[in-house]
Amino acid sequence: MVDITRLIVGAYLIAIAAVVGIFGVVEALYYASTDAYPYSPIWDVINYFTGLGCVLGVTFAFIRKRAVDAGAGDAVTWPRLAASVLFYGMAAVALLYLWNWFNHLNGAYNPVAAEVVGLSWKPTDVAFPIIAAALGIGMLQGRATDGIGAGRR
Amino acid sequence: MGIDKQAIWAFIKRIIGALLIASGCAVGIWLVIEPLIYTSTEANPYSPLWDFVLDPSVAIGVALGVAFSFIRKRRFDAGGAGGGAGRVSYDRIAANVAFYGFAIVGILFYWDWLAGLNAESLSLAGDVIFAVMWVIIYALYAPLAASLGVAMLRGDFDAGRV
Repeated sequence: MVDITRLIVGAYLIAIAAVVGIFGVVEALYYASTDAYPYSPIWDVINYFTGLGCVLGVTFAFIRKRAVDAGAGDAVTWPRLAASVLFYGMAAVALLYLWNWFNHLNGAYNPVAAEVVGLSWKPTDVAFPIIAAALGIGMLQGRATDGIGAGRR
Repeated sequence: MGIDKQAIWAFIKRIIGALLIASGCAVGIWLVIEPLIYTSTEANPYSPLWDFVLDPSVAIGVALGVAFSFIRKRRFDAGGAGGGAGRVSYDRIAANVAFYGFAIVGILFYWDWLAGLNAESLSLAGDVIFAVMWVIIYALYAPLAASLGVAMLRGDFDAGRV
């Protein structure tokens, strides 16, 4: 059961990372902005899947970090470093992303200029695909030793 | 009747650890929830909670974070707590990342915060730059403060394991 969950979530993270990463680049090549839609309306759909990816990413990165840390003492191992970097990286990206997304969804909340929200999308659009793909690949490659996957990324 | 310095140190670490966790969680949770529930007005485009509770808590949390992560880093770098002066250990890396992370967030935060308090007479940068900095500061502060706080509360501050 754990293996199936790990595989499904890992595949989902890779898929959404690929969509965000590729579409973030490709959109600039073909999309013609209008007053109503300066960006492609497809983002309004992708954002829901990215939001779910953030929640799954933080949850599974935390489970993986705990499993790898358990009983490891102060030894430095690659899976342990990777697990910590991915967890804290995903936590920071999720905070930034969710703030931005909810800000975008709620028209009555305008604490900052539109340029701020626009600029804040960029770090998440770059960091999320990299972190989510690394986490997803690690989960697909994972061994049974830690329940979720020690990973090699 | 002697004073048990170790017990006092352990007590201080637990109190500071709990404060850092509370501050980190409050900032992280409110950052995400506020856009869902708050309606901006001209007088208050963002919740007054930031000005009166959360920003002061970050100001104190950053100062405590820099101080305590420096103490921790110095112990590991000096070879204490099983670190060994030339040895690379997970705990030593964690201590260094926490200290330099807090130092960077601290400089950014105090620059943004003090410039905001002195906004009438100081205009170093545009509003957009200040606002972007706020979001980045909060997104970095929350995991940093919570992770250091957990290490201090668990009592393995001297052994690391963040």
